[in-house]
Amino acid sequence: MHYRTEDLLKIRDGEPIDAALRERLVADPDGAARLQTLERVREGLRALPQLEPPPAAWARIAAESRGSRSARPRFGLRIAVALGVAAVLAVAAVAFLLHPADSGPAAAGGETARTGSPLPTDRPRGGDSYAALLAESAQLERALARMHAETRVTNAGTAGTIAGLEDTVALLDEQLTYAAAGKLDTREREALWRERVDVMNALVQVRYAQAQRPAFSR
Amino acid sequence: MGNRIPQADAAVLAKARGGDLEAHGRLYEIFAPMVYTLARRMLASATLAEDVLQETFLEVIRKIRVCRGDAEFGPWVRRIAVNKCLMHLRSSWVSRRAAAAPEPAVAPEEPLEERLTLERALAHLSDTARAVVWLHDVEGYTHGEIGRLMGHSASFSKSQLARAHERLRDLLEGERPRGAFKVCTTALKTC
Repeated sequence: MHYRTEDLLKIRDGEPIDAALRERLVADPDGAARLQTLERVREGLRALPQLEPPPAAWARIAAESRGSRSARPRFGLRIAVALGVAAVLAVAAVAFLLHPADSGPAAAGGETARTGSPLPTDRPRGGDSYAALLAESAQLERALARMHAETRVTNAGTAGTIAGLEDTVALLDEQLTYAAAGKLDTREREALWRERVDVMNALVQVRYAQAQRPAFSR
Repeated sequence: MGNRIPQADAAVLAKARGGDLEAHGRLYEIFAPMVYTLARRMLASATLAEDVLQETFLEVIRKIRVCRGDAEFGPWVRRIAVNKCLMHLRSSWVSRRAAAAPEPAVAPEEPLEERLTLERALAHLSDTARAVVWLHDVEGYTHGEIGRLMGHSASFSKSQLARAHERLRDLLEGERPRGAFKVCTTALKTC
C-alpha cells in the first residue's frame, strides 16, 4: 500500500491526521517500517556532531567590529529603522521617476501591481491601538508573502537592504516574545508593534519597487 | 539533542552590552559552534558557513544592547544566523560561489562510515530541502515559522520536508550494501 511521506511525517511529528488513516498506516508493516526510518533519520540528524568554527574566525570578526565601531557612530534601533525606511522611500521614488505611469502606490490605486499582487496601498490607519497594529502587521505579512512567491530578488544591493530589514523584524519579534512573557509594559509592547509595522511596510515597499521592472521594446 | 542553544551568563551579557570586547569574545566562544554548525549544515559549504559566522557576530555585536532579555539572547543569535543562511540561499550569487560539489562536514570522533553516509546525503539535497529538513527536524522550527522565513506557506514547508526525506531515503538506500553511492551534485544537477 502506498503512503504519502507527508502523512507519515505527520504521525512522526505528532501533527493532526485522520484517525482511520493513522490506524491503517501504523498497522501496516510497510507503513510502520517507513515510519521507523523517518524517526531514525531524524535521530541521526540530531546526533550529528556540533562543529568547531575555524580557529582564526574570531580574530577577523573582532578586527572588523573594532574597525566599524571607530568609523561609524552607534545608532539606536529607532534611528536605524528610520534610516531604513528613508532608504526604502528613496528606492520607491526612483522607481516612480523611472516609470511614473505605473509605479508607486498612488498610480497603482488599488489595482494589482505588475506582479499581479495587490499592494496594501492604503495602510489602515484606524488608530495605533494594539488591535489595529496587529491587524496591520498581519496584512503586511500577507502582502509580503504574496510578493515572495511572485518575485525574485536579483540585485545584490536590494537583497542586502531586504536582509537588513528582515533582521530588524527578527529582532523586534524576539523582543515581542519577551513582551508576551509579561516582561514589558503595554506602552513598550505597542511601541514595538508600531516599529514592526513600520519596518514591514518598508519591506513591502522595497519588494514592490523591485518588482517594477522596465519593459524593453523591440 | 540537535544543535543545542547554549546559555550565556548574565554578567557576561551585561558587560557585552556595555561594549566590553573580552565579553564579546566570550559570547563568541559560547555561541560560535552553534552558529557555525547551523550554517555549515544548512549551506553545505565551509566558505559560506564562515561568511554567515562573521555576518552573524558582527550583527550581534552591533545590536546587542537592543536585546534586553538574557534568556532570549541565544534564540536571538540563532535567528540572526538562520536569516543570514536564508539570505545566502536566496542570493543568486551563491550559485557561483558554491559551484564546487557540496562539502559534507566531518567531525573526527564518530564512526567514519555511518557519519559520512548521513552527512553526505544531507549535503546532496537541494538547498531548499536541506534548509527545511535542518530547520524542522534539528532546530525545531514549525512549518509555519519555516514558511514565513522563506516567504512561503506552511504547506510549502511540509511538502519540502516530505521531498527531503524521500530524497534522503533514496540516497541512503543507494549507499547499501556495497557502498555504491548515487552521485548527486549541484554541478550535475541530478538532485
